[in-house]
Amino acid sequence: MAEVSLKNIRKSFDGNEVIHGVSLDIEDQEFVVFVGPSGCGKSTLLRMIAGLEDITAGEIFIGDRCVNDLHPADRGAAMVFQSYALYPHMNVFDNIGFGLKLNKVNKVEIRRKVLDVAKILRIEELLDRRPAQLSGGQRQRVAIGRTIVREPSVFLFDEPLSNLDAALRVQMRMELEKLHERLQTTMIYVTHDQVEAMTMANRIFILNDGVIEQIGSPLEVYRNPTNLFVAGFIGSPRMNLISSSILGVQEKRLTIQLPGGKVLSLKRNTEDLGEGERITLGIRPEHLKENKEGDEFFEGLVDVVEHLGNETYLHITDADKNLITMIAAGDSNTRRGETVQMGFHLKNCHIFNATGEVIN
Amino acid sequence: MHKNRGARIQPKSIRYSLYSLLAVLLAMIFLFPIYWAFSTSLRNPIDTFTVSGLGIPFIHFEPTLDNWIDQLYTGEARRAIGNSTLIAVSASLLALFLGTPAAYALARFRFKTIKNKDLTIWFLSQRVLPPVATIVPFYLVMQTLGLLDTHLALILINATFVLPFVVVIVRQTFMDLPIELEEAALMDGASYFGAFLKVALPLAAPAIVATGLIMFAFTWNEFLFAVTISSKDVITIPIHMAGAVDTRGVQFWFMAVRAMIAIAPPVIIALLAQKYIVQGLTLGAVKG
Amino acid sequence: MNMHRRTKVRFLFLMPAVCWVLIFTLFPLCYSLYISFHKVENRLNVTREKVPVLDQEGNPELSKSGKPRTRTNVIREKISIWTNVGFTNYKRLWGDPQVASAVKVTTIFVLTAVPIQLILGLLLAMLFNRRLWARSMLRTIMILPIFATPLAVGYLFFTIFYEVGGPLGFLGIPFLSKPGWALFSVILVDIWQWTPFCFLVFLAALQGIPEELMEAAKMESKSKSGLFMNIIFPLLTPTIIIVLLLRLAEAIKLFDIPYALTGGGPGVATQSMSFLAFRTGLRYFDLGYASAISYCLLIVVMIIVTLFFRQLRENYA
Repeated sequence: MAEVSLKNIRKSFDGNEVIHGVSLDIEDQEFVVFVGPSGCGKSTLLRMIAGLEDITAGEIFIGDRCVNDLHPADRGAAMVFQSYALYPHMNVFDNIGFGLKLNKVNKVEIRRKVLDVAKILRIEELLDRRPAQLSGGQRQRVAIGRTIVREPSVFLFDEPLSNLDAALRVQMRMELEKLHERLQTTMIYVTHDQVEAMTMANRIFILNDGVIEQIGSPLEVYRNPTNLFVAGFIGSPRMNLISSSILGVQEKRLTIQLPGGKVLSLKRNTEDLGEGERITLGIRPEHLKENKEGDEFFEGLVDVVEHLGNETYLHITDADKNLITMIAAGDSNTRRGETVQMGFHLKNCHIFNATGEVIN
Repeated sequence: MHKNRGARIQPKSIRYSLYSLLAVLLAMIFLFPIYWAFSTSLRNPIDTFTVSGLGIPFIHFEPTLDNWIDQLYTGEARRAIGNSTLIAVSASLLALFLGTPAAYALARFRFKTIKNKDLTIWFLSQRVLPPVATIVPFYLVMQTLGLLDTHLALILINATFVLPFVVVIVRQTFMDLPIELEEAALMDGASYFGAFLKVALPLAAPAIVATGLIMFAFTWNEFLFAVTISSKDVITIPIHMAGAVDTRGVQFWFMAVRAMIAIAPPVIIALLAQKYIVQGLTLGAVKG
Repeated sequence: MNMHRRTKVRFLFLMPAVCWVLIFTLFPLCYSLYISFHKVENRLNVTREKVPVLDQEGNPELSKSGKPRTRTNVIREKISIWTNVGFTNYKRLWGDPQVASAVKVTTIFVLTAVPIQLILGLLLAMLFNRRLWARSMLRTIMILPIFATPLAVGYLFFTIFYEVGGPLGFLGIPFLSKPGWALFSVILVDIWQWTPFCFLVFLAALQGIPEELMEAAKMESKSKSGLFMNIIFPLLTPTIIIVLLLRLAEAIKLFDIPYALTGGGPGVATQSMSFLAFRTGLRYFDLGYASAISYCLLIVVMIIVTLFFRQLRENYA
């Protein structure tokens, strides 16, 4: 059982810094997700925790030990790789038991442990087969089994579901969550898919370009994104972001003007703000309603209609050339070229200043 | 407790230095004989055995180009180079000409009675044959045909000797090409030969050229058949080298020059065709 | 299956090469077998006959006494007499000490040089699989020996091993003058030339092992030898077998290096099977016997290839 701490971690490749002073604390038994776009450094961080990459500066603690100089096998961590990395020349039983065998655990013990793990993951019938004879999902399980059998203090997952098809992914997500429940061990999970992050995590760490943008529970980051990046990253379809400017500033009240003239007045802390400054207005598609329900509304022409069955995405261009997406009911009859009015509540609006930080 | 990371020498960088040093040493050992030949070839006959240390030109002795000039200007050496080149180029081209279509057939068409895999291995096994088992028949046949001591004989024999390589390697190259492009050509009305000529061949060209170069090198180095067939007209470079020793005693400096002349072209080819060497040498069994 | 429809055309593509091989390889081999059952003697047949001398019009010239003049026409013919002797040649080589010696030389050579090359090549490949200074350039240097003309290499090493005043002369080792050492020298040259080949192929195979596989193993165990024995070595086994086969087949053909380095000597200490067959056939012109010797070599090679056949099939699937 272990907490994981990163203190001021920096990483450079050939003089190029890719991780800029990241610090974070993960509690024991938490399921934590590192999420972010490609190249943000999430995998690099994971690999540094695992010991597969050198740390340029900073310290990593697993439990109360500093693991910077420890060999990957000595850190008490186990990792599931994106491509599963199963040993192709060994059968499933040997794959799972490999670590134990090399650490001189006796044969009877190995057999017992491997069978236990196989039962948990329901792969008992596969023990004789080679990886080449397994399906993607089965290989996935073997890879997970390999980590469980070593009873690590921390589980590390590097985008384990990206190579699976959609249906399998959903199923495996649930299995992983149940696994976490059962094993009660810290898990660090890396993905670029924000849906996985939202559904699986106790806490999400959103990364971009080598820095942490926000840390919080799924609902927190959804409801209260602290910056523009997070606002645009979390939530699908993407939050509507409209460039606007400040019309007027009063005590605790902000008046903004959207392109095209519409004026909104919102309750905000206006201490550091001035008239004429550029800001961004954010409103999630799901917070726009087809009837005019709400404090305000947008009006525009429907460009594209996407029917998903349970929902309909309407992509609308309003009179001021803003592109707005809204979510309508699954049985919506709205068609291309029609005019719609989208109502919204001011309390669902997010305002971000010129540097991208949220204005509360 | 937190340690001061910056001050310690990372053990990893020590290992890097040690291993790098070892690698350099080993590379030098493998380079030494070639270097030594180079050094010897630049020496005056007198200096051949009296040079100290590593025989570095200008440092340990006065280099001279006399040996090189001598060799390259004699008719013998130049004839040998000409012969070797002619035979090597012709044999390689012939082998490519015969082998490439066969390779294409084995890559793209299915054979039923004898499966593709087995046909390929059959070609491969030709390479494994000891050439010595064929020199007596070849000698007799060439004698009967009056082709002893002719370029044609050596071209034909060498082409045979390298043909298996071509088939097996080029087959692998074709197999790595996506078949969709040829299928598109076929749908556009091309014949199978047309698809081969206009689509597959151009795409496989780099590998084929590299294979041809490697075949050139092998033929250039070939000695047994050459010494069997030739007597005075078709002197190839290896024969030229062998001849010198008998008639003039051991003249090291000349030998060194000849060795360099012999080794230079194939070695340059090795540098050029680097990417395809592994495939070439293992007859396609291991991908480079 | 990435293949075209089966059409007749496929034979047109394949046949030229197949016919060529049949004519230029299969036929000579069969002919060779045929020769090995014969004794071939080349003799100069000299016949003398008295022939009348004719003048310009074709009339016989007359001597002073009126008799037709004659001269002696000497006809020299090189003729080949072929006698079918069945298995005599084969029986002969069974008891021939030269053959026994050649077999011994070839066997010692193959069984020493090949394993050493393979092991050294593997070690070198493992060394070069790491991050090294100027790795690319060093690797390129390492592969140069492979393409060097074997005959030239033989002569080259002759200058290096030359005992009086050569660069290694200070060691006082009789590289070329004592039988045991001579064979050792031949082996050394072969190792020099072919270790880089093994190195190159093994390096390619090592680099073909996915990085993530090695990382997964690293996460499970610290033991470097455990990693090697359980992961690297098993994955390399197919490649090792192929290299072993290729080197065995080539090593048995040993000819160029002894020819240049020692001329087969001292005595017959470095006379390989190929060398013996060559000498017998093309220097002493005992063609039948030479064919028999070559055929034995051929059979040995075929046995080796058959042993490796299964692995070969797997690689060419």
